[in-house]
Formats: sequence, C-alpha cells, structure tokens
Amino acid sequence: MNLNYVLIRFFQSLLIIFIAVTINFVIPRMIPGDPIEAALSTKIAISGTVSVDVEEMAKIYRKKFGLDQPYLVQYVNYLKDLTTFNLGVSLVNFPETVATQLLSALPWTIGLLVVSTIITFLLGTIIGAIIAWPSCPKWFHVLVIPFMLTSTIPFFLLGIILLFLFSVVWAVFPAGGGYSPLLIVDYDLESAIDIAYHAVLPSISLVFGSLGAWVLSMRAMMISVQGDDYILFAKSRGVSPARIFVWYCMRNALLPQFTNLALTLGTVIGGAVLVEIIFSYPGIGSILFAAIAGKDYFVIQGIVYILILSLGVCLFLIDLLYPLIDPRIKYSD
Amino acid sequence: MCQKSFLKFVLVILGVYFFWGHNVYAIEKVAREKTLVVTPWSDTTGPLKNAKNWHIYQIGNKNQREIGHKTIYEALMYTNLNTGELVPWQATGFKYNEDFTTVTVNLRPGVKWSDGVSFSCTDVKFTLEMLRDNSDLNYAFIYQEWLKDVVCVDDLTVQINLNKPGPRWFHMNLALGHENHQVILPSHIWGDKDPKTFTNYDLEKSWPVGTGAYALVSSNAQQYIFDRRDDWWGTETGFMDNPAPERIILVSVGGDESMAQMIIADNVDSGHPLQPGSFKAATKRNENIRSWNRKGPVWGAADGCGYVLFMNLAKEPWNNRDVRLAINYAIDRKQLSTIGYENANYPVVLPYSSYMSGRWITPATQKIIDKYDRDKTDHQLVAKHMKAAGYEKNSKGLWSKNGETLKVPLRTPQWLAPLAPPMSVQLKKAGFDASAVLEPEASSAWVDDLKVGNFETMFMVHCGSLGEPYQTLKDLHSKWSADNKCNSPIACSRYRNDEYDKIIDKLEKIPGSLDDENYKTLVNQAVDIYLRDMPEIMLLEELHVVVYNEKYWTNWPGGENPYAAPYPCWEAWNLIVHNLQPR
Repeated sequence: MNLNYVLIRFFQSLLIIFIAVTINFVIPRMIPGDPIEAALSTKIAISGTVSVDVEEMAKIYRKKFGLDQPYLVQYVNYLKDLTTFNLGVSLVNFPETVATQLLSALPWTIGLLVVSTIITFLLGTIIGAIIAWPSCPKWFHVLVIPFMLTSTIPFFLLGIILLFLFSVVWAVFPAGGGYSPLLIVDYDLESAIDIAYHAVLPSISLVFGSLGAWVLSMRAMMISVQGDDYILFAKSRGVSPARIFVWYCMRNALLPQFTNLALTLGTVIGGAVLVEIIFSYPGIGSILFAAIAGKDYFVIQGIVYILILSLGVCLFLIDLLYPLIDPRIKYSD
Repeated sequence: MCQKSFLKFVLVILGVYFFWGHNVYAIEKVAREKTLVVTPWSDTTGPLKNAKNWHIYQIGNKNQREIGHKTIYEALMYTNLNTGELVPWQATGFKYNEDFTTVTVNLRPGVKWSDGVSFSCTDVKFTLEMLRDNSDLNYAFIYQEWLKDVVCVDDLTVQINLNKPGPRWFHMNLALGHENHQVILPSHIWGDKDPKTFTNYDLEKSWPVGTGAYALVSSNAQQYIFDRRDDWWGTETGFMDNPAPERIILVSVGGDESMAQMIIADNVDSGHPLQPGSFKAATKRNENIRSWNRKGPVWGAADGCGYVLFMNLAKEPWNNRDVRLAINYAIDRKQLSTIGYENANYPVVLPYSSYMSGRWITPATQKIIDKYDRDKTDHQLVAKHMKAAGYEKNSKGLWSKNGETLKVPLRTPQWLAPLAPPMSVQLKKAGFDASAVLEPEASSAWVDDLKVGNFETMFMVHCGSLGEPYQTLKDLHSKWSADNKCNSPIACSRYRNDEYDKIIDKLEKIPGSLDDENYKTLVNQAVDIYLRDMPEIMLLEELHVVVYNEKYWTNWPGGENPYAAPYPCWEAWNLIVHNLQPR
C-alpha cells in the first residue's frame, strides 16, 4: 500500500469532515427563534403563569448551556468538544446527555438498518445476477415484477400500508415499538424473539422499498461483464456455466455493489427517520425528529456529527480496501 | 482442546445461557390484566428521556410530569378541577392568617416514605427552602419570589411564611393537581446531596424514594416499570386501599397515529390524546376505546385553556375598539369548530373554561354576556363598527382608509393551524384583507415577536382557567406588558385600562370564593369591561380527546363520573390510579 496515498486520503477525509461539522454547527442556529425562550414560554403559558420573567430565566439557561457566548466562541468550544466526543447535553431534556440518548438508540438503529441493508444487498445482488443470466428461467422474470413494483413505492408509504394491513386490519404483527410493553427485556430467547417480531414490518418496508435499486444495478453490471473477453475465453476453455456465473461474472460485477453497500452502511447510523416514526421504533431517527421539532441544537449536532464521522470513515476505508477487492486497481504516486 | 471444539463449547454455553435466560433485574412477570400501561402526553414523543435521572426538579427533567406523579410522588393535596373540591392527601388541611402572609398546613399522621421513614414537616421545610435557594432548579422562581421561610411548629404542623400576601399561593402551587409539579422530597435522602448534580437514581438502594403506592423497578429509554408496594402508608393507616393495578408501565409513543395503533391493539390503556378523526377511526376498530364523553361530537375534556385571537393593542388599528368589535362580529365561532375541529369544541367569549364556568357564570354574569352579545356573526354590525372607525369599502369590497386596505395577517403557531384558514375566509367575506400566516414547524420566532410586540394579530391560547375568574382575567392587567414587552405568551395583548387594573389589583388580594359577594361584584365589573372593550377575542374552548381503553380497566373519570381531571400530565391523575377497577 502506498503510504503517500494513504496520508493524502486521510487528510482529505479530515478536511471533508471539518467542513461538514462546520455546516452542522451553522444550520441549526439558522432556524428562527430562540429555543430556550420558546420552551420556557410554552411551559409557562400552559400553567397559566404570567408573573415569571421569562427573559431572565432564559439568560440563566443560556449561560448554563454556553449559548450566551458569541458564535465564534461557541464554535471553538464545539470543535474542542468534538475532538473528545463530548456531544453536550440535551437543551430540551436537560440534564440528559446527547451521548446517553444516542447510546440508547444506536443498538436499535444499527440492528434494524444493518440487518435490513444486508438482506437487501444479498437479495438484490442474487436476484439481479440471476435475471441477467441468459439461462434464467422465464418464471423467475415474472417473479421479479412484484419486487420492482414495491420498489417504486417510497418505503415510508410502504410502511404505512404494511402497518395498516398487518397490524390494524389483520392484527398479525405489533403496531409499533421496539418490543412489547410488558416484556422485561433481557439477554434471553423470549426477548430476542419479541424484538425480532417487532422488527419484521419495519424491516420489510426497508427491504422492499429499496430492493429494486440493488437488483437493477447488479443486473446492469452483470450484462456489462458478460460481454468481456475473459468470459468468452473461459467459455471456450470449457469452464462450467455455474463457475463462470459465480466466479467470473458475479465476482466482477460485485464491485460497485460493495461500494454502494459500504456507503449505505456508513449512513445507517442516521437511521431511517420516517420508518422509525411510523413504527415508533426507538432508534436514532426518532430522536433526530424530536430534536428538530424541539430545536435541540446539541442533539441535532451530535447525531449529524456521528453520521458525518461514520460516512467519512467508511469512505476512507473503501478507498484503502478497494485494491484488495479488485487487483486491477493500484495506488499510484 | 482444538479450535473447533473450543468454538463449539463456547457456542453451546451461549446457547444454554440464551435459551434459559438470565434475568438481570429479577423482575417478575405481571399479567396484562393487572398492569396499567400508559404513554406520556402529546408533547413528549419518541424514546423516554432521563431514564437514569430522577432529580425531578432539574430543568428539562420531565419524569415527574410524565409518570412520577402517578406512582412514586404524592402531593400534599389535590383538587378535582371539575368540581373545585379539594382532596386532602399527605396534608389534611391548611389555613391562612388574616393578611395571607402565612399559611399553616396540617400533615396527615402516618404518612411514610417508601423506606419506612416518617413523612414530616422537616421534609416540607427542606424541599421548599431548597427550591428557594437554588435558582437553576425548576419552580425556583416561584419560591424565590414568594417564600420567606418554613417553620416546623411540630412534626405535623408546617408554617409557610410568604414575602407578600398570597391568598391563592398554597392552592396554586401545592394543592392544585394541575401542572404544579411541586412535591415534597425526603430530606433524609436529599439532605446531604448537591441539588445541582444528584440524580436520585439507584435501584439497589430503591431510589427514588417517595410516599406513593408504587416503586420504580426498571427504567430505560423504552419503558419505565413501577410495581405496587404492599407497605404503602395508605393501607397501613386505613386512609385508602391499595390501588388495583399491580404494575404501571410507561412506554414511549411516536405521535397521534402511533397512539391510535397501540390503543386499537390494546397495547396501552391511556396517555397521548387523539385527534377527533383518529379517535373516531379507532373506536370503529376497538369498541373498548372511549374518551371523556361517551358520545360526540364533543368528545374531549377541558384543559383550562381557550383559543384566542390576540391583537396588538399597542399598534394601530388594533388599539381602536370599533375595529376589534368589527373583527369579532365577522367571526363564526361555531364554523371554526366545525371546519377546524370537527365540531369538537365549544364557542366561548370569556376566558373561562368548563372547569369553572358552570359555577362562575352566575345569573349576574350571564346578564352581562347577554347584554354585549358578542358570540354572533353579523356583517351589519361589522359595517357599523368599521364606519365608526373611519373605514369605507373600496371598489374591491375591502375595508380601507386613506387608500389602504385593513390587512389582517392571522399569524398562527403550528399547533393552532386549524384555526387560520376558516377564519381567514370568514374575515374576507366580511370585507377584511385577511391572510393565514402559518409559522414554520420548528420555528419559535413567534414567541420573540409576541414578546417584543412585533406582530399584528396572532392566534394563541389563554390558559389558567382552573378554579376562579381571577386566574385569567388578571392576564389583561397592564403590568404584564409594561414597556411594550410581555413575559408570558398568554398576557401579550398590551391592553391598558386603569379602571380594569384597579379591579384586578383588588381581586389579587382576596381569595376567590362564590360566598364572597365583594369578589363576585369585582369579577362582574371586570367582565363588563372585558366584553365592552374586547381586548382579545376568545374563540373556542380548548378540548383534548383524552383516550381510555376499557379492555382491562374501568371506572375511568368522564363526563358521567368527573372525579378527576383526565390529563395524564397533571398531578391529580394519581386519583385515577387509585380509582381504577379491573374489568
């Protein structure tokens, strides 16, 4: 591996991450209004109180959260905190820390999305490869049509349809949540089954909502690869069709799929906001949605920062690993 | 041992562990029919927060509001807001001195904390003075303004000394059963802790400690679990039997649709309200679901608030009474309810909620309401008042003066969105150049603008109508918007009337009572000025479709049995827990 290349890519990644976290700092602060005064005012109005000086109270809290400082000072403190993974506290749900919220939600998001993404990748790759193969039986082509149709439906709409049919009308699957309200979650089989049961509908909507893209991209790559000279050469040497299919065609057609998989896995931490909201799934997406609605700057920043970091690291790793996957690719000075 | 064998060995051990299970918390299962499952109120969605922090007075910590008040912590007293009746609990009564600067509270003998220590005046003194002395705690602003000190006459007699006369102070803060989430803490636990950092959470020590009938046994971002205590003081003293639910679980909810799905599936018993449309759809799928009223179209329960149209009285033309009256007579309140809320709300002209209007709209008050007759749509009256204000209709049929039309931008915070479009059409029909201006979802710029007077008209809620007229009439006093700045969104009309101010000043010094003729006379004088001047235009009473699922639990409060106000985030929901019966 070329060390110069690695160092250049590393610093490029750092620069991209730096720009992204700067934008991450600026954008929440562009939302009009003051989140502290808004939260205080609403709370006080609900109780019918008029005698409290909201402005005075808000000053105390701004000082507490460091929001009374000039933006430049806030920005410098923000960068310093990020280097130590100090994501701050939730403005709306003080004193809970952003890290606590993320850590409680991450396993759910990662579990749901990683599994769904891998299932989608495997299914999409295999189906795409099979339908591109000239010997593919005709009945298989027909079978693929429903998959393609569901892929044109946005996955959150698919989620609503699945929820209505399978939870409300037929009551086959739960109506939402990560597990049953009565379940005492522990490291046991009952909990595992219950959690898996609750994950079925969200997973199906994610899988079927994005399957078509994987199928089509794999199919396109397979068709492209089949026309290459080495395939003809392998056929002329008498290599079996099955071996040509798997080791010659699929293996070469998989490269863009792996890139896509790495990029997709890099973004799973951000959650599938709409799916999590529809299914009341306790993942990062639910927290992000609530944070945006409540203008919880620090939670928004924390989640987006983790997303930026995971995507940046994934891209960096892909760049380093690509030559290992495809020997034709070499680092150059 | 070779690698393969070792791997097999590890897999077998994991399988056994996994299969047989290992309950870290040793929490027993409780049958669904003995469990009460609730969700937070509508302003809290998504995963539960501060699961490992039960310092209920830290800013932002909502545990008391969401569930603590139904389980661990009890109040000195509650109020059934439907009737105004006080419900003594940890305390048996209270009495003011002559000038309302001291309130003496009698505690109930036999009340104990969950760890067996007696509840006493020491705890009350500690809690209230802690709130007074720590400015960044929740409710500290109340105690800093009002509390001088607390004196323990004896273990069961508390003397609370105030900085100024407060004829309503004790009731509003420690006995209301509403959003006054001020409960007493155990001084023997908290006494040596730093109130800024103590988390009050340690399940091994059974913290948090409260006097309530339930103890926390598990809490994480998805569920809080509370088990009933068989040693609750209420049963030991003969005060009350143990509540029926053996377990209470708080689960998170995603919103209106999520709650509808969960309650249809019998996964929850109460909590997040439903929109009228969602409620009707849910009841078609599950006949066990009901709301405050068993029959519609008005399903919901009052929440002490009313929808109101504020006009900025510090600006022209809103400082002109004729313009305000004209706007009022252009509005059809019933139609607003029909179009905006599917007929689920009542029209109102006073800032009185159903919690007190039945008692406080006396014959004398009704006479005043009838005299002014503000709840009607009359375009002739619109014309009369607009002409009196110097306006004429232009060629387009819009009211104008000096060549300019009267623009009415109806600024609307998101949660009041249903009001804007129908009212905009109503005003246009009456000749006003009206437009609905909806605030962006995440924006709170309207709060800042309301505060500094940078608005023309705005929809808001006028809250606080829980027991007596003073609670909302006071919000029109000019002191709340001195220097054109207002502190609370419910007092931002910028109305200035010395005569009105003097009446409110007098009312402030006396407790509200239907037996006090002086109080009632002053109230009616204030109501007369209010309806004469229309400094704000009340529209509809705010109601929410609270939901109950009777699959497992019955004897919920309702219109036919109003033993408590039904809002899950209000302190007096504890009365509901103690009244529920298994089906």
